[in-house]
Amino acid sequence: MTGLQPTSRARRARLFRAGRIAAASLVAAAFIAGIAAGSASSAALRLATRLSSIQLLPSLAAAFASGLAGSGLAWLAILALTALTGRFYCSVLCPLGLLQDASHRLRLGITSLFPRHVQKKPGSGSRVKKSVGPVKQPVPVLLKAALAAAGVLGAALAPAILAWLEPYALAARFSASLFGAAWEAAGEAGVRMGLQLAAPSPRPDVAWMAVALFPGSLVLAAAVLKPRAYCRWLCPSGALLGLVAERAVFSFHIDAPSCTSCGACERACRSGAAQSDNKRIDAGACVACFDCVAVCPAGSVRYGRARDNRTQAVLPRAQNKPSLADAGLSRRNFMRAGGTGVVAAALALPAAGLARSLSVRAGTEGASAPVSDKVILNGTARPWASPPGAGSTARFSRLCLSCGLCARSCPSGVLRQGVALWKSPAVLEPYMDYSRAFCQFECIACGEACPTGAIRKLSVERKTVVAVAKSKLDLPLCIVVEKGTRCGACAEHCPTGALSMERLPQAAFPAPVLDATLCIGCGACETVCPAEPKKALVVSGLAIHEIARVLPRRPGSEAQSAPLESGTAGGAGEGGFPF
Amino acid sequence: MDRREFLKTIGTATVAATFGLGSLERAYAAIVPAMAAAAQAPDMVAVRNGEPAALVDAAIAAMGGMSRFVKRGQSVTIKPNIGWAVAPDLGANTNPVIVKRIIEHCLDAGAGKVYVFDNSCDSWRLSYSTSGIETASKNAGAEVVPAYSESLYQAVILTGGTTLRTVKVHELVLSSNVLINVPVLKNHGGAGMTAALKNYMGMVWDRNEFHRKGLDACIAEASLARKADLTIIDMYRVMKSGGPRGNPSSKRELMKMLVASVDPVAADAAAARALGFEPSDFGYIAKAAKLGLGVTDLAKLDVRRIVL
Repeated sequence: MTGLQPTSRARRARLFRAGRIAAASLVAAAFIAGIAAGSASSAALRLATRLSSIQLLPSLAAAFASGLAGSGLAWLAILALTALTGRFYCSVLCPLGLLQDASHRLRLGITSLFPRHVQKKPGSGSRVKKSVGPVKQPVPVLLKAALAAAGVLGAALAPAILAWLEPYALAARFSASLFGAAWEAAGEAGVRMGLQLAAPSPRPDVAWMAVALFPGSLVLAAAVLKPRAYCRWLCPSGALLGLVAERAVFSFHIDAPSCTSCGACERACRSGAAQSDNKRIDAGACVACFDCVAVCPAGSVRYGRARDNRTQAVLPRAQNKPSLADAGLSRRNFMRAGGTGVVAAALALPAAGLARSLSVRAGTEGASAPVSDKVILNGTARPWASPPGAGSTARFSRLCLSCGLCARSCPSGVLRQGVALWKSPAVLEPYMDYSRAFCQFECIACGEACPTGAIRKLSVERKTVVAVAKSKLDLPLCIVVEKGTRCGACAEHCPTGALSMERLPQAAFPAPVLDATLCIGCGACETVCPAEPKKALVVSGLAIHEIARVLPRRPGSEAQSAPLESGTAGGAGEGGFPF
Repeated sequence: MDRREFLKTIGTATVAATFGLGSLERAYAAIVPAMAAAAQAPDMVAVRNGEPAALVDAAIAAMGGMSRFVKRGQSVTIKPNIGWAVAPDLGANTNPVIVKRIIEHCLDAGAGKVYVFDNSCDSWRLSYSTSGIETASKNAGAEVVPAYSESLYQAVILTGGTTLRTVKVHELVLSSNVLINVPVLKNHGGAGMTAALKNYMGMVWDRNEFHRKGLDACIAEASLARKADLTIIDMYRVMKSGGPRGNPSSKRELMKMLVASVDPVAADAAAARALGFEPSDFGYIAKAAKLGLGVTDLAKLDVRRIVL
């Protein structure tokens, strides 16, 4: 790089920057489209699923969930790549990082519409720039270490405690709530124009939308003022990658002899890594966006081997640290105190969650007491059901990041996030809502979507025998018995044969009979049961999933009518016709 | 041919102008039998002992060709049974080859547009794709349309309905020139049997209402919204137990049969016998006959029986 002329170097830098922006835009668009469309577009959903599977902490969680075997090695690849090239993950692959950049861009765009705010007077312009610029306080090493440790330990022990903190989960919930709702509104309108956009019209859970939007909105609101504030002060992935990137082989650095300390790089830097006065770029904080290289008028900011970088770091140590004179009741200190408070709160939540998670775990996986969490569906409280592949509600509650991708993937909408099941530590872990829809017999979409392994990928054969819940029949409530009319909706929909219609003494027409050993808890019977106000069938979750009995395949189940001589038959009953 | 076309055009235009959509079905009920008599074509054709496409070809030829029902430029709605996200060879949905062949006959007869839909029981997206009907229909040139949104349905007042005074049916049922009902014959846990009349539950929005108000009466009265111009029952592979979805121990029979009929009640009477029952075993058949939707006695009709 050193051999290049400044002009061609600048051109190359702009190219790198454009490439970075293009890649990031594609990733963000694919992520948002996939989450928003969900099961309505299998192609878009597949892209979002791929992206979710290469997120750092979810991938690490999946690796631990599968005993560090079998699962993808995305986390290892990300760490290795970061050790080599710096935090490209943060500026290209992390959806929350990209959403923050977008919201900051939005602010800059809006500000530029009102130029008087930007250029008051030549002298005071810096005020505005400063307020839009990054948080420059160095992040305490202890905080970085604590966040990184929380990330790794959380992923290893109980990913659910990261539900409030982990960037992918925050971005996924935010996108599902905001863009998903927009998609569904557009889809419902589009149906009238012959477009098949929408998933089956969902009953929007406004409370859920608010809770899903809240933490993401805070992060994005912070980014409006200070780009990537979350990335520096709260993100466990960022902290972990920062520790690795500090010693990256390739990094950004400033060529001291040619640098005029004009401040262009520092103003352009989104992560507070560029220090113009010190002629230094903090490799741990840098998210490798290439903006500094592109804006440097002298061509002094370069990307290359870190060895070159170190030779440039010739400034006295003291200049890197804030002097004692800065201490006191300055705005900086005020912000620092506020930031510490937020961090403390953010860390307290997972800590409380961890305690809860461990107690829940001790309660059920020790097989002493079932999980007491109940959910009210169709007016009846019952134990909640976790999706097939979760294994047990306790395992699910521990491993689920509450990103909600499974719920977006669910074609029927039976798997949903909602405040009905408000459980700590998970924010809004999905549950089976049999009041809306039922689980599709041969569908394995949720397991294919789950990035953390909280829902294991089951084969179709396996999935069709895993019981996540059991149906219970209250025959006196059945309309065949109660009203004396023909029904059978439950048996019609039952995919396993657990429900059948039989002649019973108490009813004039065939009435349902339930063999619960065959039931897998798909919920079809309860969903379609027409009895009012209480359904005759209630499907209650199993704390620990079971393998259901399967009806034996009827031997020679396919009879064949005898072939006959061709021709036109005469009257009724001739030619083998039964009529 | 010209007279029939003229009659139908005049009839449709007059009715539409005078009474609006609500009375359309009465006009059809009056015109279709007259047309059939004029053309000397049979009321019902039963074919057996052939592969799905051959069964359709033979039945439609014997009925007098698809041009008897579909005129150049007309819109056609085909309503198969796409109730379940189940593979095509299990007899839970209408055979996709049969649907495809019927679409091709419609387009050959000059149909302007052919639509296919069902208000599925399973997730509609999965049912459309897993049944094989979406792909088969698109390949044949039909438009596969959604039925999952209530905004696609229109309320119809049922003249003669006592249990079901009004019903919300898919707008295509009302707006298409020709309605072809293409059910698959199956055992049915609730209604006993599903074939022609029961398949109407996939044209209505709130099927749960049928269960609440009584299946037999509602199934019989739903056809009052609009009687199908042609009913073609797929009896190629027949689920004889565990229906309508089917379970591992369901009994199936490869019957290799197909019935085409202008009379949906008669079609169900034939279907009942094919399943090994009497028409009187299923309450909705007699109720539909009483409403004037057709006859249960096949001897009163011109029925052709063909063995391939």
